[in-house]
This record gives sequence, structure tokens and C-alpha cells, in this order.
Amino acid sequence: MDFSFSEEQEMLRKIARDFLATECPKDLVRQMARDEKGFTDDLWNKMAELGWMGLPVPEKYGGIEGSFLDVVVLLEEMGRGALPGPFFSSLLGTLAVLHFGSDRQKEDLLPKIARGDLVLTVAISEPGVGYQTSALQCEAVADGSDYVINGTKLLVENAHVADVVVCAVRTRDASGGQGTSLLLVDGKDPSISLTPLETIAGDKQFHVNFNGVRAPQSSVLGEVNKGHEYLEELLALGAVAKCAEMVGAAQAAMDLTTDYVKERVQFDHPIGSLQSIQHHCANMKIDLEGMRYITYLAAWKASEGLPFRKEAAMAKAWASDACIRITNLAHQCHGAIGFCEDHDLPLYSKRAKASEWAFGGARFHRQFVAQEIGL
Amino acid sequence: MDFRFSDEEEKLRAEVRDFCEKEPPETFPCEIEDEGYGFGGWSRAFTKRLGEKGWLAIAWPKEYGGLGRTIMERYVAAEELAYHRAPQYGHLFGDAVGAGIVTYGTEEQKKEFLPQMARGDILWATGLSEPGAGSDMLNTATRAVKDGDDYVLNGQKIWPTGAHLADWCLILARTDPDAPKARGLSTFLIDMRSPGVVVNPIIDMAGAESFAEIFLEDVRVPKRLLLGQENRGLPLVFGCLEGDRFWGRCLRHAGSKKDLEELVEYINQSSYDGRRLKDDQVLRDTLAEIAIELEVSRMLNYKAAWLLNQGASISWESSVVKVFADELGQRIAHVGLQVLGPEAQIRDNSRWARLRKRFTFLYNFNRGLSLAGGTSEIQRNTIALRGLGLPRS
Repeated sequence: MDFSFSEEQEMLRKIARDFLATECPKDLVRQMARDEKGFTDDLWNKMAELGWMGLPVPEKYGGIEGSFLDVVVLLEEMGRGALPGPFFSSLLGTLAVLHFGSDRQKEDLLPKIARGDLVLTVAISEPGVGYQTSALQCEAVADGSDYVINGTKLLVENAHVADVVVCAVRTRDASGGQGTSLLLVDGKDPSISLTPLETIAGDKQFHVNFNGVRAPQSSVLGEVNKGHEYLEELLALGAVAKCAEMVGAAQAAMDLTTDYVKERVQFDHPIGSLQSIQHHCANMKIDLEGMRYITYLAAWKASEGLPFRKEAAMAKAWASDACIRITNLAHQCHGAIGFCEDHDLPLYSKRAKASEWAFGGARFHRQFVAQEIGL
Repeated sequence: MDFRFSDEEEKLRAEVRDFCEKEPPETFPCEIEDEGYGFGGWSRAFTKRLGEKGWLAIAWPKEYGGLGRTIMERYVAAEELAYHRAPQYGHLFGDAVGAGIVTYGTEEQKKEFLPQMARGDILWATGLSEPGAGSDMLNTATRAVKDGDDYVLNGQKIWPTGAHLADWCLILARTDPDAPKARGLSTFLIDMRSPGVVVNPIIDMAGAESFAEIFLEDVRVPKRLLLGQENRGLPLVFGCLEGDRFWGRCLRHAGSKKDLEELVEYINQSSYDGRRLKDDQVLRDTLAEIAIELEVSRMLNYKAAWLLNQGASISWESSVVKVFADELGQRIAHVGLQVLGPEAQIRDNSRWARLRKRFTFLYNFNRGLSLAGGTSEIQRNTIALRGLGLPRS
């Protein structure tokens, strides 16, 4: 039993924390929420120089070959720093290529990803369909050596800057075979149309129409019609990755709050000396500890190659609710000042909502857990 | 980061599992039934049997009857016993006293008590609370006055678990009434057969007799039974409580695993209002949430055990463990009765009678979880002050 991170992981954490504090001040984060693109090339390129896009990529493809736990450490810091931009969505696409891609696809994509030259995203949800992958409607029909994709994807992150979209579709072969597949689609294809969505957190999510987009058969990730399994695994990885980001965000909300209640004086005393405030803070701490270790458990299992879907569902269900509870109490402890648009706290409470839904909310995951416990 | 147990730990776990299969814990008579803390009932016979196996003092030094192994090994054994709902109540609390003797005891005290405790020959209670000193332990009024080679104790203690069954009791008493409140307290090891000790069990609202009150009237305690230094009793007691909070609550996930399994079985086989319970989406959601919270509790418990195993302090971590475990225990009882429905009130002879009886009992008894051993509010104060560094009021 070892709850500590390795020296290398602690070093990665420190580098990430220092870097984000300097290069990603909260004014920039707020500015990016209003910005059309949502991030700066300068920040992206500096992150690429640190090798972060290649953290999970094997060395032979120019990456650092870190473990999933290493990635979790980095994501925690990014959540803490409220990093804007396509790192997370691109990471998910990267994991899809890493886990399910052919050697050729890896050779083609991973070196560019590792350099920061290629941005990916994943397109799964649709209008009226969340992560119940059997209910997906977007279709790819075989036509000669291509698939022709028609349909709509919703809440696709950073589609405006994605070079490659990992798209979940229902495939139909000429031979009558069908199923779910993951396709690598050129994000700049003219038959793709994008509509930016105005969202709670000011992150860049899009309504994406595929209007007869042609993708060659070589763009199928892994085996055709086997996408259901891939998708379940990718969603579980995404859920754990999102939990890591939420742990960082919740820690930031906790830190903002403890700092504030120690400073803020009313009735001649810091309000942090009042038991009502202390108990709010204690409840935040209990939830934070809970979400941290249930996340680490799932992340460690994923990192070790052990079955982790149940743990991922448990972590995402718990963290989704806990992160909302924590940011709610953070606001209550901050009083009116935290209600201001230029305060840092709303960055976290708004993202908590977006994160809650990403890769399935608490109830979605509890449905899965209910099956797992034998109901 | 590694959430696996070591080979030695797994080996011990397998031994314990094997033992529980060969000598089913439920066949041992219990003086206090399982109250749903997670550590089962109070059974002198079972404690004695564990003593024979050497499992009461796994982490104590060999020279005092222990096995000289790690705290994590000790934890793993307790966890495995809890999965089997084995009665560990009788000795688990005494263990805080044992830890106090290991740390603060004289050589003579260690030799006198630890080997007997390791064998399960003597069981302990802990007498801290008084009618006027619950959360406010500094208000302790029980007096200990030096008289020749003895101290003479007078006062009243309330809520010590199993004091009516225990052989010995750790008692906190005031030795210097003129010193500041925190600096005049001392701890004594009291033989419950001493003249002047009167113990009455308290019947709680669940109908159980697990707590007691102790009256001390001119009880003579020889000086050699002062634990630690005179007037330095408070840090000792806080140290003991830190462990007590942990060991008394760290088995929640294991002890409640069977509760969850039995509720799932009941749901899968039962109907109400002409509908199968397993089709009830709200119940499914609720049960899944309990399963998740048990897993969260498990991780919080492991984290504290891991810290303890390194000799680190768990001053606020043990409060996190306790609050979470206690409130979860209360939710489980509540959910259990939700699942069982109105018929849970009926003491019938159906196949579900035992399940109904257990949850009706837990519903009543679990109110005490968040009070005993320091209320949830006191634990939250500790988390805020020690875990977050907030200022004292």
C-alpha cells in the first residue's frame, strides 16, 4: 500500500504548478473564456516544449512514455490552474489512437501529437444522446473504399481547432455488417460544419454537422464494428481523467476558501474561527479527500492495466457530486465577493458543472454501478 | 502509488479467512450483539480465541506478547475479520489502551498488562466522559487525591463501552484542581474489582446494553497504576483517542459489505405494490450510491492506515475517517429501511426476519455512532483546526 506519488511525479506536479501560475494567470483564463479561440498559441507552444502533449506517447513516437498516473498528476494541476484550451480534448483523442490505433495510424499521428503540431478531439454525444453509446444515431455508410458520414454531434470540445476528430458512428458495410466504430475524421473537411455553443463555463464546445463527410476505410480506429468496446474503455479513461481535473479544481476552491476565511474579519474575528464556517470547510475537506482517493484508485488501476470500469464509474459518480458540493460551500463561505465575475471562484464552480456532465454524470454512472453490485 | 497489499499482508489475510471458515465467528457467544460499527459484537470467547492465534497484538513488540509485525498487517487482519462479521468489539477498544501502555507505560506496566491483553485474558473499558464533561473533556471532575502510596478516586464516569463486562478501565481524573484545566489531569489503570467501583449498564434506545456508567467512591489505586506522568494525562488521552477514532471506525466498509449484499438480494427477490423492487430506478440509484460511499470509505480508511503504519500522526485524518464512516452507517440504516418498507417494523418469522431485525436495530442504534467517541461536530472542528489550519474561536 502506497498513497504517495513517485519523486518524478512530484517533480512533474511542481513544474506544472509553477508553470501554470506564471504562464496561465487567472486574468488570462477569464479572457480566454470570452475569446473566440479560447487559448493562445504562445501557451500551447510552451506546453509543447515541456512535452506535455507527448506525456502518454511512447518514446519511439517522440513522446515521454509516461503512465496514465503521470497524466493524472498533470491533469490535476491543470484543473487547479483552470487551464483553458484543447489539451484535455486532444488528450482523449490521443488516448484513443494510443489504445486502439494501428501501427500505421500511430506512426502517422503520434509524433505530430507529441510535438504539439496536431490537435485532436472526440465527438461522441448527440442531440438527445449522452454517453449511452448504443443509442448513437450518427451514421457512416460504406461507399467504395470510403465511409460516408452523416449526422450531428453535440458538445464537441474545441472542434474549431481540431485537426483530427475521433468520431463515434454507427457503421454499415456493403456486406450488411454493422455496429459502432470509431473513425478518424479530418477536422478541416469542408463537409463538416461547426456552430459554437454558448456554455456555462465559457469552454469551447460545438454543434458539429457531418454532411456526407468522406473518410477512407483506413481511418477506422481498430476494427470496424468493434467500436462499442473501444468507446466504453475510452469513456472510462475520459471519466477518470476528468475526475483528476476535478480533484485539482476542488483543491483550488478549497484553498481559495481557507485563505479567505482566515483573512476576512467580521465581528472582530476572522470568520474562519466561527464554527458554522469551520464545519462548511470541514465538509469540503471530507468530500475532497473522498474524491481524491476514489479517483486515484481508478487511475492506478487504469495505469496498471487492471480492470477499472467499475472504479471509473464510482469515481466519476462521486467526484461529480462532491465537486459541486465543494464549490457550493466555497461560494457560501466567500459571501458576496465570490459572486463577482472577476473573482477566481466562479471559474471553478462553472467548470464543476461542465465537468459533472462530461463523460456521464453521477446518475448515469450509478446506473452502471447498480448493475455491478448485482441489481 | 500502489493500492495492492504486500505478500505478507495477503498471506495473513488468507490465514484469517481460513480461520473464519473453519471456526465460523457467528458460533461464538456474544455478550453484546453486533451494533453496526463494522467490527461486530463483543465476545470474550472469540477475543480469547484470537489471543490464542496471536492476533490481538499483531503490531506489539514480541517481548510483550505481540507478533512484532506491522500496523498494516494488523489492519488487514481486522478488515478480514470484519468481512466475516467477527466479534472484535471486546478487544478493539482495549487496543487504544494497549497503545497507550506501549507508548507511555512503565516497564513494569508493560510486563504486567501487555502479555495478558495479547492473550485476551483481560478486557478494557475507557472511562473519559462524565455527566458534565462530554465534548468538553477539560471539564473532567473526577478527583484523584494522593494518599500515601495510593491515589484515592472519587467521581462518576458515563458511556464507557462494555465497562460492565471489562476487567480493567482507563480512567481520566483530576490530580491538580488548582492548575489550569488542561494541566491537572492524569490517567489511571483501574481494576474493576476494586472496592468502591460500582458499574451499571445503560439501556440505550435500541434496547442494547453496551454502554455503562461507573461510580467511583474512595477507590484506592496504587501509584504504580498511574499511566504516564502525573498531570500530563491529556496529551496521552488525545493520543489514545486518535487511535480510538480510527480503530473504532476503520472497518465500516468491510462490516457493511454484507449489509449491502443482503439488501441487493432482497431487492432482487421482492416486490411491493405489484412492482418488482429491482425495477425501481430510485432504489437502484440509492443502492449504487451506498456502494460507492463504501468504496470511498475504504479508501479513506486505507489512507489513514497507511499513515499510521509509517508512524505518522492521523490527528485530523482519523476525524475524516470517523465522520464519514458514522454518517455512512446512518445512511445505510436509513436506506435499509427504505428498501424493506413498512414491513420492516414487523417481527415475523419470514425468511427476511433477520434482515428486518438488523435494520430496525441499526436505525435506532446508529443515532449513537455520530455521538460516541466524539461527536461529528467535534470531529469537524478538528478537521477545520488541524487539517485546514483555521483559527480557534
